[in-house]
Amino acid sequence: MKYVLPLITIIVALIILIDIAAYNYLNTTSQNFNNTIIKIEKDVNNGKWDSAKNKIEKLDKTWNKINSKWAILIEHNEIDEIDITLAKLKSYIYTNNKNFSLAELKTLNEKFKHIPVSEKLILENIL
Amino acid sequence: MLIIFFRTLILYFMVVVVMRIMGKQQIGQLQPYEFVVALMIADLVAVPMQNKGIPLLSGIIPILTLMVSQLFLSYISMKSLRCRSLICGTPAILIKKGKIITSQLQQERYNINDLLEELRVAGYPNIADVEYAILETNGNLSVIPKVTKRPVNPEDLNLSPQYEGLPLPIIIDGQIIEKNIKDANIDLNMLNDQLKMWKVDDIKDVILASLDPNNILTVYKREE
Repeated sequence: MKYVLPLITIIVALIILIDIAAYNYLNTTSQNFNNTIIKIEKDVNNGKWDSAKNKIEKLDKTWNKINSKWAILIEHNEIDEIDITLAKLKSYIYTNNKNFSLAELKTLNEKFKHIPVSEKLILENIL
Repeated sequence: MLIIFFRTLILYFMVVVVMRIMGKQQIGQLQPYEFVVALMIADLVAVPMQNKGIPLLSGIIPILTLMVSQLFLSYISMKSLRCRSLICGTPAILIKKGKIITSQLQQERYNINDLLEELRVAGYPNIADVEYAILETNGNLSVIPKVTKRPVNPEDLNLSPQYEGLPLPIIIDGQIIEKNIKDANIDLNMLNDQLKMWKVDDIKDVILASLDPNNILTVYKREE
């Protein structure tokens, strides 16, 4: 029985550490994505479609690298939703459709904002 | 991760409290309606524990509802004999005066192999030794052996053994149980004297000390 308390402490400490690290990781990566989205939004508003295309390609590549790591931490349907929105956004930008591009950019922005919030340890999320 | 950790903790302690309120019977001894509640609670808890999308309340409310229903059914079955037989069923006599009642076996969907197995578990490998076998409402088989096959009692030998009361634990895990000292009507000096006889220097070395009705202390010390 001597090992019970240390074992409980180690497991709880491990869960807390993993949670803090996971939250920080999700927060910083989603902020980076949102910064890029804001830049793309400016390009779309100013009609700089080539620059917007380059940026969305970069964002897509980064997302493809990161989403497998996110899959460990968040629900998979949220990743699927981001995949779908990103695919729509790409096609709207490639067809120079300003209104739809802006709408999808906002949606993507909200989704990236929502993920760290949904993983944050607050009473609202527990209950 | 910590969200799931806390949700699991909340639900776990809630189920422990609910189970404590619902009664002391073990899973194998549950009545059908209690068994159903235990199964449903296990299933209800698992989903909100892991799915953060579901509000915790939608897990808590059904558990509380089940607890209330279970308490209601157990209250009714306690108050009314007729309801008790409806809710819990009635015991079925499978062997009566040494004869197997096949109609009852069929009604309870109990085959001869099940009966023999349960009799063996109860310590009666030979069915001929059994006078009565009763299938209780919680699924246990009670066996009453023939008079010639039952164990001998002191009464059979015309013996009158001394009264045996309940031994009281006085020290558990190095801690004196004050309530039992009062019940046993002994003082601490007497306890210390008896502990000295057992060569106990520190009370913390005692894992269990129990006092029998003749005020004799038995001490079990911790391994060194």
